[in-house]
Amino acid sequence: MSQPERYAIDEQTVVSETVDDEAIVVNLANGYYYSFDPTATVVWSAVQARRSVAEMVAELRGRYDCAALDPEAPLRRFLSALIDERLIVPGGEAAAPAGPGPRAAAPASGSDPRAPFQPPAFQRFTDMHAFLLVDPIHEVDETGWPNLPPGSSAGRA
Amino acid sequence: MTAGPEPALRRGRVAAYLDELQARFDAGAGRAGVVDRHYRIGGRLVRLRLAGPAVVHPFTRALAHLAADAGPDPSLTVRVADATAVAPPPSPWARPGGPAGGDGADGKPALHVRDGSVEALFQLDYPAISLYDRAARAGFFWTASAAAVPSYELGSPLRAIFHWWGLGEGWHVVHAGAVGRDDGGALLVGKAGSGKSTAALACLAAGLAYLGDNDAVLAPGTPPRVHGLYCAAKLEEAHLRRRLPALSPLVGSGDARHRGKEVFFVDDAAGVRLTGGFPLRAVLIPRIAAGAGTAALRRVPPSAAVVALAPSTLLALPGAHRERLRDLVSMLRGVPAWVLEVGEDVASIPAAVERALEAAG
Repeated sequence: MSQPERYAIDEQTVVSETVDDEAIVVNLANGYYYSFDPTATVVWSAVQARRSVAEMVAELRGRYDCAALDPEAPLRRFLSALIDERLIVPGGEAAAPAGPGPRAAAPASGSDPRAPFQPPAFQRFTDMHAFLLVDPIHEVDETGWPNLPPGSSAGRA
Repeated sequence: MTAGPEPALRRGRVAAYLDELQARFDAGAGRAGVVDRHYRIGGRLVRLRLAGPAVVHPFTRALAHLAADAGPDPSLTVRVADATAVAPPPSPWARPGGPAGGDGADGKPALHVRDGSVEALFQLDYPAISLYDRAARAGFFWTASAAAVPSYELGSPLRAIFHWWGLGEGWHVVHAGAVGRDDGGALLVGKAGSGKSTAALACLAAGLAYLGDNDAVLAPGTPPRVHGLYCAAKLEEAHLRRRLPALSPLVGSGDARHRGKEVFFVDDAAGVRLTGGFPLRAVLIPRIAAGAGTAALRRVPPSAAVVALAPSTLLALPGAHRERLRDLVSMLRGVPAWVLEVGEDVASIPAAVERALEAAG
């Protein structure tokens, strides 16, 4: 089955900024955060700009020397990884031709047309995840926290 | 304490809840005996109205170095109370359900709700409520018992309220230590256990200006400016005695522990230099270098500083994540950054920090 043609960043839970040629992406839902390499940053900017997969492939073929490796399959694997990480979702519309659209990142330094294509990759950091998984509300009664049910302790370790 | 994205709570009545809390505070003020304290944070006057002596120490000790005289028109007024002074009204929100904020593994330790100009953070672990009305520049902190305030609150009281207020001033409360000189200093950034406190306290012991080991206020500018917030620090007692003997008199001056670390107050030490703020000249990312001797510097791109600072800053405090990340990137983009490799010779850290500041100009 072919993949959806276009993807969108999950704006409810994902924030990102690009510094030089490195996108820094934070998933607020699970605390994971990511450092994208230059090729991945190009792809991330393209997703932000609501480009289709075909447009992304064309952009990568234009930016890099793809004689040794065509970018389409690595791109699709990377997009699947972003879905697995809950950073993007399939679907979405193309950016409107007029009016403000998502801000594209600055061109990556790795976009030199002579540079060989390298598959996009990210580094994932999970050290903040534990801060987000404390089970919060067992001491809540039906009137709603903070009115603690009789006999419950005020706090937890 | 951290908060995830806003859960699917019933909205629209949090502002009324804050009004009711404030009315109950004012009605009970005579009984509890309100204590007013004033502080100057980033040059702005802040008034704390504390409902009774029991809440004074837990919520003011870490701010003692910022104490100021009373004055007209404080930029922020925060009421602080526990249940002995103010009984909370029934909460206006439904028990959150579903995977975003429910009983399961996806539950969060804190819930963030926004209701118009009112922000609320429900810290579910001890428990406490932080509320802030942007329009009125008024905050309210309520906890069940001042005697049960956890150590991290003693070391960084009212942080969510200062965070929301600071956003209105264009500031950001950041997860970072800060040390340096009056003409320029460095942020120490990185996750817990990376060596921020060790580096910050080593600089304190060596006579450098100190703004904090874990929290600071970052304000935009050219260069950005760093302000201090809390005079508390956290470090393992044995580590402090062994590596920073000059500060060993501080051991026992605090009254709490957090995750195996003692919370103590650095203004108890003789000769410390707690400064009000300095221009940001450098970002240092401490790394424990096993087997290494003296502290060493390794230049890294600004993106490394953002990765080390932004996620924990964003996730530790609620709201405005997108705007805060944008602003942090904007402020750090032009600031030189180094990894500060921390070895056995802790006393060599201040010289490395000074070398970075010299190199940064």
